[in-house]
Amino acid sequence: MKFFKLIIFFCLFLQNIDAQDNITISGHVTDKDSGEELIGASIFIQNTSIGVNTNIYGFYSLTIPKGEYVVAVSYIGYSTKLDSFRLDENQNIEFELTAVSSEIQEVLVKANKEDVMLQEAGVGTTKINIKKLETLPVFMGEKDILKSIQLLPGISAVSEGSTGLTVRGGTPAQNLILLDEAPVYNPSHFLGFFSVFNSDALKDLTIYKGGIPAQYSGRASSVLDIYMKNGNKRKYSVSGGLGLISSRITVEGPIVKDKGSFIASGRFTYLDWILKAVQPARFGDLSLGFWDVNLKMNYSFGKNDRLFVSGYAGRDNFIFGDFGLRYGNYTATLRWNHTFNEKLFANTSFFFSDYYYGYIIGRSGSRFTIEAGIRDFALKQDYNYYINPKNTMRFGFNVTYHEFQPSQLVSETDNINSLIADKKHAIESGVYIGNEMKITDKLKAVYGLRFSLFNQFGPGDIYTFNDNNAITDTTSFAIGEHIQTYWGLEPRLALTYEVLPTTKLELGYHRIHQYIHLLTNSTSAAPNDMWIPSTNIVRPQIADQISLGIKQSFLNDKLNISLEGYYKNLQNQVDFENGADILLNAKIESQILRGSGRAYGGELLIQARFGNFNGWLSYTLSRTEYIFDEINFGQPYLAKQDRTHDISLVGTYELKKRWVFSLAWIYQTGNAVTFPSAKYEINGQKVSYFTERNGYRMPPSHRLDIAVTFRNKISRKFRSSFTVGIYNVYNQYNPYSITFQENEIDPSQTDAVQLSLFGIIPTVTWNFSF
Amino acid sequence: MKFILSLSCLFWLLISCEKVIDVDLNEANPKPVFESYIENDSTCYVKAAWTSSYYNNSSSPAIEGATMTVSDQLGNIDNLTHIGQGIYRGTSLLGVIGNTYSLRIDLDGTIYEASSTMPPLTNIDSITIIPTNSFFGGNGQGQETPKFWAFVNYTDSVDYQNYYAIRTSYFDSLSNDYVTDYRIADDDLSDGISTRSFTTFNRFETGDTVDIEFASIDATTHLYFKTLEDAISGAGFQSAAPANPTNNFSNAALGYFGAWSKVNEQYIIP
Repeated sequence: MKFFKLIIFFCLFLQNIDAQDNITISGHVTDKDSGEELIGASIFIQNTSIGVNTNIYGFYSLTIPKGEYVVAVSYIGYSTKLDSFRLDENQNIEFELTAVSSEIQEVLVKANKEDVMLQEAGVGTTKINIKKLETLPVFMGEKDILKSIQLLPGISAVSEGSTGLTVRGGTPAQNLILLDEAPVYNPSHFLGFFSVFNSDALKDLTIYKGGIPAQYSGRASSVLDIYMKNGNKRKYSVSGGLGLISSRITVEGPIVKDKGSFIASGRFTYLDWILKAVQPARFGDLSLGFWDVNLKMNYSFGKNDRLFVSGYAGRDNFIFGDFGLRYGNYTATLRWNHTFNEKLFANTSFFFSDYYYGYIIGRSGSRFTIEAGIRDFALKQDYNYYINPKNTMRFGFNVTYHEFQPSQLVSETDNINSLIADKKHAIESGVYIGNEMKITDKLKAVYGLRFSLFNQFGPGDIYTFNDNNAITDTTSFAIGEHIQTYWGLEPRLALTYEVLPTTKLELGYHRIHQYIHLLTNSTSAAPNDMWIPSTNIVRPQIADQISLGIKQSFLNDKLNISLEGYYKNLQNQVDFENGADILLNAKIESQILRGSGRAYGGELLIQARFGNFNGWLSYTLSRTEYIFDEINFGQPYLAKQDRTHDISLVGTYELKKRWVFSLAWIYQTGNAVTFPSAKYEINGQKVSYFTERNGYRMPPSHRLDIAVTFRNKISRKFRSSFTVGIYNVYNQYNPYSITFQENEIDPSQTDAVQLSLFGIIPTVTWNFSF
Repeated sequence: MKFILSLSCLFWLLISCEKVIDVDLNEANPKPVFESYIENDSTCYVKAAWTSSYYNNSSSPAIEGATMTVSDQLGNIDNLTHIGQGIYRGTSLLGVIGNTYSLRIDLDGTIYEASSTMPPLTNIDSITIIPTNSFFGGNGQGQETPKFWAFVNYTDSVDYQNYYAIRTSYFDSLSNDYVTDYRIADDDLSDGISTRSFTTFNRFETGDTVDIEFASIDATTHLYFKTLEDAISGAGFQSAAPANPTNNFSNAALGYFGAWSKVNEQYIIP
């Protein structure tokens, strides 16, 4: 009932829909060379404040009074296009923009000042120009979006070299990572050091840290919305690269010219082949590496309908003799865009996502496998309703069926029993309505409401536990029988107020329920982390975040400064009892602890763009705390991922359009860790005595990375570039872990030994395209 | 070929480096530690000491003035006597399988209590060895003398939740000293079947002598030894934050009190 009232409330907002002589223009904005749709391009009527941005399918719709206009269409990295039109009736206008390929562009994207009115309310939101990532220095020469965004304020790695992200004090499991709308459950390869995203196949990445819009839900901390390229609609092209760790190849081209296109991109590693070739005796049984493939096809059926099929598949393999580990994700998305009329655009998606890991131990005949995973099937529909230039409404629903496979053991040997764990089943669904509204010329609001619902259902056994974690009661549920329901209302708001043409104030608020939880023993993305649903014992996490920001531009937009503060309250956070096993534990729920958390901080970003130089300085000051009754005597303690200071300095300089020099320097407070405050002996072994959780700090980390890219002449058809990079230029040994060990010479002495993973690493990567 | 070789060497060499650093640690107030057990056919044993400063390399100060009694559920009571250096022994009460024992310690008026039940004995069926190179791959080349892991084979009882502690002593030629390793096991994956457990991850050579003590322990003692592992290294690493082991003592004393039944076997690697 409440929900319907709210819809009426929304409609009241929209009553200024005027009946005067208005017409609507609609269509797409695409790249002239490839026909690739541009996401978030702005279309605006010159000398007015009327404008709109393209949606994720490159579609726009704009309603204006009849008349003669100059329409300006712009997109980051493209030259702005100005066209005059005489508009008397509803019209379909397709715009094509030309990429500014030779000029240096910002890697970090913000609206040009002229576009400020058109920019979405941007509190806590950043769009990344993926094309430009290539020039930044990268770890092991592998360009990686999850690494590069760690240079932004409020985002950092959970440990050095890791793709596990902590966003505003959140854990990696609280980030919603979407690839063509399908969630990716483990975004890492190689035990967390490389991301599963092959930048060659990607088109757009938007990160939401605060003021998250109503169409997103399900994770408490952030959203990374990633879209794959559609493929070149005009001509065939091949691009690729050779790197130290992996090599990549991408093929794209039209299926039917200007009607449909495809893209196929693959990556694979060869470290184990090299090792095998060098020392066949030692590494003969070794298999170590990963591969992944991205595929996408699209086809337009007339002007109003378009179909997309996309998929991702990736696997990691670590096999050494009789021990093996395999893990990876599969995702698939089928989408149908339909334009009902000039003002109403709809997308229907069906998607599938699967994460699996398995340890395979022993020889055939006496082998056993430990495995777990999660699988999703989902249906989702989103509508964009361009009511008038002042209001764009978004509404839709989604239904996701989750199938959880808790870790289980399948044994072929006689001296180990199999331990088969029953799958758990749940449906996560939601409906939302939101509106993007220009309240005045200076004030814009994106507001919305989401109703989310989570149902756990049978088949399955539900246990009741006593205080000693012994099962006191077991209730069996039949197929489809309802077990547990949770629901929640999630209001969302993002306000932007333009105080002066150069100054904006921003405010954001969101509430998000997270119904599925990651059981993890580590802070980074480990392959054997396991997802579980909310159950009768484990409750949904709830995050409320408020953020407040100011953006100021100087020197005709050459210099931009933004300052943002946030406060986040977290309910029903998850930790474990001492000694709990995540693996192969049917009673794990009895050992899950429930607590609360809070995170707050300030983020400063200074961006500069002078001639061929482009760069930024980002500084984050923050604190993240948890309170659990059973941990640290019920006193608040710092989260492991707490970072007091986090600084990134990034610069790129382009010389004569063929050389690009870049550097990145970072400084971070060390992880909060638990160290001993006394010692004693048990069984003759030295045992640490701890007085408080995470009461100590690792030493801070800092390092400088540089890279130089050299391109051949741009006029040639075959383009190639070399990137030479140095990771950790001054060979700083940053702490990965600290352990207390006996001194090797005098065993009565104890040493604190710091392990550093990466010293200085030079890399070379060759990229080509034709 | 040479280029590839140097490239891969480069890769491994550049990764990972260890160095000793200075870490300033806080000083906690001393807490009592009671390492105590009662075995089948044996009297109660308690070793009592205080915690000490972490970097202090002398052994922990002994607790000498405590009053201790052990009793069973039948009402038998035994007073422990201090035999020196913080070690206390029972005088009359012998451990019996199936009985529940309670230890009561009075230290300057503060009472610390714990209890534990002695589980039924599980015997060692046999001891077997497995060549190490057949397990984690590699074809054994470059290994001068064959090395073996020793496993203890036993039959788990079906009607009972079983927990085990395996204590393995051997002479280690590297450190030129006797070494004792401890492992625990449970029957989550082996309930009611013949199974085996690693004794130690040490790799033995033909002729080595191994002393194996195989004890059946109760759930609280098992949880204590399990959580003890985290506290021994005391590391701030990728693993979950380390914590003090979960034990059965009241009043936040450290250590444990366990009642267990055990068998011994000496084995010479063939």
